[in-house]
Amino acid sequence: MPTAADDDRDLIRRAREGDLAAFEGLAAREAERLFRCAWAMSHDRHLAEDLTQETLVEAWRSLGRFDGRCRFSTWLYGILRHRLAKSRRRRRPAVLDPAELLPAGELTEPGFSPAQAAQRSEDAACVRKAVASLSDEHRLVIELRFFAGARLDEIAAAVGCPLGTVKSRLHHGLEKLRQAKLRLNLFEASGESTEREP
Amino acid sequence: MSDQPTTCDRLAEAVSLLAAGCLANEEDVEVREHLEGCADCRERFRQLCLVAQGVEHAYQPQQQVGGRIVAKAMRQIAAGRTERSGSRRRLWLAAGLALAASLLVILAWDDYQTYPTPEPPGPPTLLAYERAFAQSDEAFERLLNHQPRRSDRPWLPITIHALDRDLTP
Repeated sequence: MPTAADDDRDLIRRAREGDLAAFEGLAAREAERLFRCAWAMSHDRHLAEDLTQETLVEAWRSLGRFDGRCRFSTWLYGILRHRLAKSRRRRRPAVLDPAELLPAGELTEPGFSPAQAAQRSEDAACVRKAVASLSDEHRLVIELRFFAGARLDEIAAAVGCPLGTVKSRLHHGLEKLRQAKLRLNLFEASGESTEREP
Repeated sequence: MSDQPTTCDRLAEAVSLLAAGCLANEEDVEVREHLEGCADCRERFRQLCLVAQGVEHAYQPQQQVGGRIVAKAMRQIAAGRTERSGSRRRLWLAAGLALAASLLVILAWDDYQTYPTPEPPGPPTLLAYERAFAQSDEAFERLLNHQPRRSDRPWLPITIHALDRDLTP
């Protein structure tokens, strides 16, 4: 049974031969996460859209140079980092603009009681506040992982630092958020399931 | 107190990565075995999972834009392809024009070297006026009506003045 990696390889081979539809398939898989990553890094939604588009166009032009030693997505994140570095509009607001995110009140899925929904909205607002209080490097890694859904190697390519540094920043960032939640005594009140599939 | 890090310290980062959903398979087994036997790390893991879920939940964009961006990128790529074939033709044309221009410059330079440019004529000299005067009235008249170039003009009054003086008996 063909895996996603085999599928990727086939699409990349066809795209290299000039098959635009194959490249579109690859781009469609990565675009949303790439956009979120660009957004987390630039903190500018419109710039992030431009950067993502530029990254995809650049990837098409440079496809011949992709040597397959890393994942295609990781390679894209590397291009994105260069595009961002080249961008002259590197205005970085302190945090992701809450107006562009789903309002905390709309985060709750159906099926929650009004009290639970209110609690979850309040939690979301607290989390955003706590993430905003992190140092730049910790916040960026947290946002790339949980907002952009990037894997560790992709974060390393996007940020331009070694994998070990990314692991360390993610660990410390999460630990600081946990400490903040502990201080507010928010763990006891929560009755959510905690098990997470690795 | 021992300086050796405990298993809990050694695996602290791995526990965080497991909670974040990005621990490699080979590390996963050791961490899970440790969690089974260590209540403190298990509790920390539980809390970290809640934090990770909370962050994931709190950061959701209002709308998905990936499809729109891909469509724009593909349009740009398709336009670039057409542009590129057009620009290749333009490139050849420019190269041909540059070559032709270079040849013209070389030929012109060669001509210039073979036939040096003659000195531009200056204003009529006193001798010229004298000769014209001696030749005929018509020739003298023609020389008097000579229109000097702009750069010659300052010489004209001096020349006429000298002529008047010389012709005065």
